[in-house]
Amino acid sequence: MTVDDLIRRPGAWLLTDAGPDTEIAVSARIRLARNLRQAAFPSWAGEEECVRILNRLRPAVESLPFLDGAWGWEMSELDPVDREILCERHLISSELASRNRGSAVVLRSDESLSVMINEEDHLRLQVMRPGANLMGLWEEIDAFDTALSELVPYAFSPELGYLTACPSNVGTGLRASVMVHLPALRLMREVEPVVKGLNKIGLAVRGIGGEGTEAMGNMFQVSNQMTLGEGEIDLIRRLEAVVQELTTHERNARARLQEKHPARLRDFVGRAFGILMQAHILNSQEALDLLSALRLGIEMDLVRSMGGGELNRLMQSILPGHLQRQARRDLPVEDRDQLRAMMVRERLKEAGAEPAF
Amino acid sequence: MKCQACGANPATVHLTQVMDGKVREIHLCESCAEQGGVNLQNALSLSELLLKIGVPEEGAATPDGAERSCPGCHMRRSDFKKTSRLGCAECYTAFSADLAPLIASMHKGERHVGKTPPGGLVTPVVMPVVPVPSSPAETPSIPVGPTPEQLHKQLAAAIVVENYEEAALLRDQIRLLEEVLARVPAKGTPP
Ligand SMILES: [Zn+2]
Ligand SMILES: [Zn+2]
Repeated sequence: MTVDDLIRRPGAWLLTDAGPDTEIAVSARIRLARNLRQAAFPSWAGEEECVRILNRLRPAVESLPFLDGAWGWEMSELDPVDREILCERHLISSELASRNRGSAVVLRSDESLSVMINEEDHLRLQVMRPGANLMGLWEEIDAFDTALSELVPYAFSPELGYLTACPSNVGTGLRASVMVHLPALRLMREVEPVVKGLNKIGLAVRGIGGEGTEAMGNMFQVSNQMTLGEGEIDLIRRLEAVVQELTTHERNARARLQEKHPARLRDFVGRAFGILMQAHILNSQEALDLLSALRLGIEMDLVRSMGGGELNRLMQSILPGHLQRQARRDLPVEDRDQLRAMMVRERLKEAGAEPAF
Repeated sequence: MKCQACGANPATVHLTQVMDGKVREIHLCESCAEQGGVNLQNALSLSELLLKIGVPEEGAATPDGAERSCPGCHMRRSDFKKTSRLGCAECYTAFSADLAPLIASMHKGERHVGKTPPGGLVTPVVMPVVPVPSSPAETPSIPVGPTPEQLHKQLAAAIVVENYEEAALLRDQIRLLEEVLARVPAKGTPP
């Protein structure tokens, strides 16, 4: 099994045609940080010790039926493009990508369940799916975690909970996040106040791929900031309610746009379509921003002949790692941007996409 | 007021963050604030900032003047300040004086609420031996921790993955626990 086998299909967070429920709340993820009781944390342990810890943890992780014939790679087996692809598929973090011997990722073949070994913590268990069903994800990862805890002695204290390398994760060690697509709120300049409001209740909002609230393709990740002093279930209920509210906000913004600013909306979608059809150089940021506008157009029936699933596939295939692997070579940035523009033009033409106004 | 990071210069930058109805404050001198890249636009910078510039200097040294370090992994306090990552689980005990204010400022509460690993507890790895009760009125309590069955399960698992080090530890733990349990009358059994 190689990373190449992954790239021909959409990632677990982007399953094709996952339905209208995933239009705004695109995907959800839960990560649990866990550590061995009597071993130095990965950053402090040094490479040889990490190798020893990996050799101990990996068979335990892979023995669990949850992973159903697990796939896995030690980071040292992977070239830079492989690592980029795994990052783009949300299977590893950039921190894990920067490591080598002694760090690994193990995943179920459908990619929805995965484990990073020796990232910042000895274990980072992850489950992800399209949509925003965090409670379902919690049940799954909770069972997986419980099974693993019977094989591996966890570092845990009754006062501080699961002990982690960074004190910001101590307690539940749980980071739940939902990726939301908010083009209309962005267009109406209403993202800032929403972000501020969420910060006040202990939730972080980060743009995907961008710094701070700069978001690539109007995608934002809403996640909990705190892990100590609130139980998993309470937190997940709260986050689910917030995402529900955000979805309503975005829908309202879309309705307001259509009603009060129809020209602005058409201009936004139409311009994006025009550039995507005619551009010969596109960097990822610009491409994702324009595809976000196109997605809005599709979801509001302003663009014909291309399904959301097809768009998801296109979005993923133009990310730098995926793009280079499909081109079968390392490409300098300028060539990548040309190839990306060409792929976008051809896919849109093939799909017969055209504005419906 | 002195700067909470360097403890030397007067604090001129005062940051307040209200999160979940809890007010958190930090007072810094200008240079420490700058070093931490204080960004007044970013409401979430406080915890990150605390991590970056480190924590108050109290408890830096042991009584004999040596720098405090973790007996489990030999991380020194200065190492933690540099990387803002702990070295091992035991560091939480070794640097508790430094960590308490940091953890309080970062989180909603100061005590864990939520899941407890069902199989194995807890910080002390070797089970404490419960002394034989001197008077029958004092019924000793069973120490909180895994049952012998759970430990046997873990032991079997450790052997499967050929982790003999862990297996040896577990074997000791089981022996101890069984000894303790043998001395504790079962529930409902008359003394
Ligand atoms: Zn200072
Ligand atoms: Zn330590």
